[in-house]
Amino acid sequence: MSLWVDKYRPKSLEATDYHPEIADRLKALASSSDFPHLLVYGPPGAGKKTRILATLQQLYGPAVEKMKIDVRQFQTASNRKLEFNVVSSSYHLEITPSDMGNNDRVVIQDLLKEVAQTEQVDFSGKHRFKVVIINEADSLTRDAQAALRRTMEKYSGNIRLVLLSNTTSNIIPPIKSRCLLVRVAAPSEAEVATILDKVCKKESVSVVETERSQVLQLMAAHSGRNLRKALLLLEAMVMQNDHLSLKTPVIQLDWEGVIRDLTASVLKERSVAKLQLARTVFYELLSHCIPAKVILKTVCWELLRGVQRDSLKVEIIELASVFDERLSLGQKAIFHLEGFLAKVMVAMEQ
Amino acid sequence: MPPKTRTKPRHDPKIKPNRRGSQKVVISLDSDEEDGDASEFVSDNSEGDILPAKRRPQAMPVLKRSISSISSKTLKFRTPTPSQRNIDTSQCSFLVSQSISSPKTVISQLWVEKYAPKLVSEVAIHPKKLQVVEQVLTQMVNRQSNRRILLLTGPSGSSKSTLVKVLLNSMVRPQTLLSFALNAEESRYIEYTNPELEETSHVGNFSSFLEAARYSTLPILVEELPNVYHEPTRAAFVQSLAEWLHTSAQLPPLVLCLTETELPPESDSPGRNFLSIDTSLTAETLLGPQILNHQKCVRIKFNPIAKTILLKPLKRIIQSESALGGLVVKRSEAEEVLRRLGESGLGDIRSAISALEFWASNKGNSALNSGIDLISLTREDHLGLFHAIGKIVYGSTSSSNGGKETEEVQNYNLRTLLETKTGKIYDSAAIEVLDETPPPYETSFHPDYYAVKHVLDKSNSPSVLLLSVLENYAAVLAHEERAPGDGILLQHAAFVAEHLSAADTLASEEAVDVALRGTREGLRVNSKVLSLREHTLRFSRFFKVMKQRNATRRELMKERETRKLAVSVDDLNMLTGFYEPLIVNSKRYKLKNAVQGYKSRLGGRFTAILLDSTLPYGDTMEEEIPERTDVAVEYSESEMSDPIVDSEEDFDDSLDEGFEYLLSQSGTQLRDSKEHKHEVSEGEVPKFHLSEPPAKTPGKVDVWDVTGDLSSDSDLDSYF
Repeated sequence: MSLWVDKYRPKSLEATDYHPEIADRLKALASSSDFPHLLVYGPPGAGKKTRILATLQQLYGPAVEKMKIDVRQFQTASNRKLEFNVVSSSYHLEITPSDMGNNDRVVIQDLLKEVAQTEQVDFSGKHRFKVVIINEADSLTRDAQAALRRTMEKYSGNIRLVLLSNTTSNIIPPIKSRCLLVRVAAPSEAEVATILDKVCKKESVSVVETERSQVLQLMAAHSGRNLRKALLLLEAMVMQNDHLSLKTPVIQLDWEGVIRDLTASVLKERSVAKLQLARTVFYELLSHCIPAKVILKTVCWELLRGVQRDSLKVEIIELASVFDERLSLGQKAIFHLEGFLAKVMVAMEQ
Repeated sequence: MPPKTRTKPRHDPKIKPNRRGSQKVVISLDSDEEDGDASEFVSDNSEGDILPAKRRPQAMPVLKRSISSISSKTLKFRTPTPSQRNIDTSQCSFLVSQSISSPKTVISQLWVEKYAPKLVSEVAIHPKKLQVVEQVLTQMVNRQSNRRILLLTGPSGSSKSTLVKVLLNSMVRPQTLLSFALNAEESRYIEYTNPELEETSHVGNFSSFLEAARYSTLPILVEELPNVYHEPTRAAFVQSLAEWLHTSAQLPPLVLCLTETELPPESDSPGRNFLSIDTSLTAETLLGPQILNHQKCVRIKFNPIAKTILLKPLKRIIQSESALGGLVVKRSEAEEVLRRLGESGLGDIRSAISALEFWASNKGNSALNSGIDLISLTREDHLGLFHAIGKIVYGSTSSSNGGKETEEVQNYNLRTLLETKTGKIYDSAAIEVLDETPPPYETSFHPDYYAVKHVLDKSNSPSVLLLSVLENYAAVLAHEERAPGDGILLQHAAFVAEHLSAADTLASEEAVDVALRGTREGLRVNSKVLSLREHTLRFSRFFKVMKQRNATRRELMKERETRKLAVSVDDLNMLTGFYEPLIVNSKRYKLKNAVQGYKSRLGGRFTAILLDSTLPYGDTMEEEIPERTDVAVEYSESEMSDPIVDSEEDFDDSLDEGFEYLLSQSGTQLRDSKEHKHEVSEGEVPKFHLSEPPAKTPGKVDVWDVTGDLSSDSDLDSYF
């Protein structure tokens, strides 16, 4: 009953549909006696996690799939108790630093120390180390990254880290240099379409046969080469319609729709009053947990799509990069989103 | 919106005896009044204040019985002391000398009480304000208007209650107040006292008081409040006031004096940053729009007392004190003291008199007095949040320091400040804005210097201030805008936004400086500071948004935890959160997997916000709504009605009450989704353009914000 996106997630490295070279490399690593720390990076929906879980399977066999969730308690420097969920099997554990907010340093240190100090009991296992997967490693604070760096050296006998991140730019060089970097690129549109086709056949989805490739191409293009999005989109569209054809409406993400409305309106005309209304839109998006950087990026791309003049495009990109930096430096995103839009409006008026 | 009428008070056994009791009071009051009618109106004569003695015994027995039946909580009337009676000037000075001649009173009575005004002309207040209050109050007392509540708000020491008491004394014929009949005191008003000081209070205390007082013929004065920091008590307080406004019966006028205060936040913790009754006791947070916007409620705002008006009573006090020999003071000395008190710029008469008294009592003690800064004796001045925003956004320029401009003042330059702090070089558009203000100003200093400095010195929550400046600056510029595409105004808006954004990346103190100066500079269009008094200032929505964001986040995390999902929170929110309900709620899915149930969008649906409103610009807008000018502004903003306020019921538990009051009060008309439905006709549904040529996808309609089944076309318009 799970969603297709989970149902058709490849379980082994052999089953992955694209990037065969990455699969080969990971397989080689897993079958060798040693295993390095890994830093796996790539855009969302590219298949990072899938490949890592498949590698674990390769390392330890099917036992890694028996996962449980523990609640661990930590104490911060200010004596506050923190509760934190850790997904683990007997061979690995998985943490997400964004769950722990500003206390990620404490959690990482304590948890890794604890894991590293207990040796693997099962001597029949192929490997004596445990794997710790850190999701969203790019959201680790500098503090936590520095702590991680020491832990990696000290306990490398007992643990191997796998960092998953969208970009390497937020990760400090000492960590980068201690890891094997694996880039998982987003699948091409053709690859996405192939996978969609495969899923359609397995689920016996009725697609108008003459338009089949076009429909799947269209969906693949719409997904922005994000396989997760593509599969969710496919399932949603299949569930909503009896047949898929070119006439079937493509379902647009709600928050993207909100941003598109905003940019369409800005492209039409610009005024201070509109700037004021835009703030409400930004607040609405922020209140729904859409990250400010994603908002900025989406606004920027949507604007570029509607702008003809090349010099203006350059200017918008430049402004976007300035305010993207400010989003990192500053505290309150709303100032920078408004600043960006105001500057863009001025640029468009000129 | 009409208030919820209280649930049948008549059948409430607890209230019943009180009512009966108060009705008995009424009877006696009425009979008293008839008697009073027969007697002559003698309020100007102090001897005539007392009712003819022979009448009292008749009223007494009724009284005693009624008092016994009244529960002790019900009637806590306080009678004013006889000294508050209306006496003419000669008697006034007589009283003063009398009290001074008796050593006992000299010690016990502070100057603030001793020189409390007895006449309307003595009250330290602007004559125009006096006229307004007098007019409204006279009408109310004489039952010539349908106004029920007169609300006087202002800072402490701005003569609110003094004025009311003095005015009532001259207007209302005194009556023997029954509960105190044994003392034979008369009163011209009934005053609410908070029983909490004497005994434990209960929530309905104030409403019991009003219940009892409604049959009186005397005006009601409420100066003390019940414990409004206790939310149920506050709700009951507001509720009983609302009932007071809505009952059809004849009611005595009710005067509510509210000293507005704003407490500095104790810490920078986000919870304290909400505009609520805990941090800021104002009419808005206390009463809410329901009472404030009611047509039977008049609100008169008092300002801090102006310098010249403040000094008058102070001079009089010095004169009478020295005339009585209690104070030996040189003329020049007295003038110096008065000048310094006036310059404190506080406008709090009570505090000024106390400072003067302290100065006078320690005058002989040179050691103590030499080092004393008189101004430090007065109440500490601090700038309220909205006052601070107003100072920045409305662009008032403060006066100079008397020609003693320091180097700092002369070198005041935004450009150098920002360039040194951030290393940021202005672009051409920003320089254009800056260059509009030619450097040699009319004055010897930068026109913004004192306004900004004042706010910097006196404001106590910079982050809230900046967020609220962000909330308000655009409205000032937008008001000037006549049509979209006014490049110059847009440049100014961008200038302000740019500085606010740059400030956010700086350390706290510099940040406020950069932001405020940038805002001032940006709001100066064509060398003229824009001013928009009609615009209603709004509190920033930021904290509310953050609260909702956290709620959404918690919801997402919980979902991830319970279902052991292996996706990041962002993916769960942005992809799965949207698509999954579409899939799971579809008929097909349910059929196939034989499941039931409904799944809603994680974190709540998005609210449609209409950017391309067809609202007219500028003057045309004002023609549409003829009533008040500020309504026009509010109207334009109602479009940007906070969609968050009414977005999802999921958040209801976390909504901050005081905040909501403010939002709704400041012209944000809460609209529900129904209204949106009316505004968007089907043709206006925002079309979504694919990157592919539209010919390939004919009939493609933008579909978002849908969690239901979309198989039928009629569902399409249901999502607005």
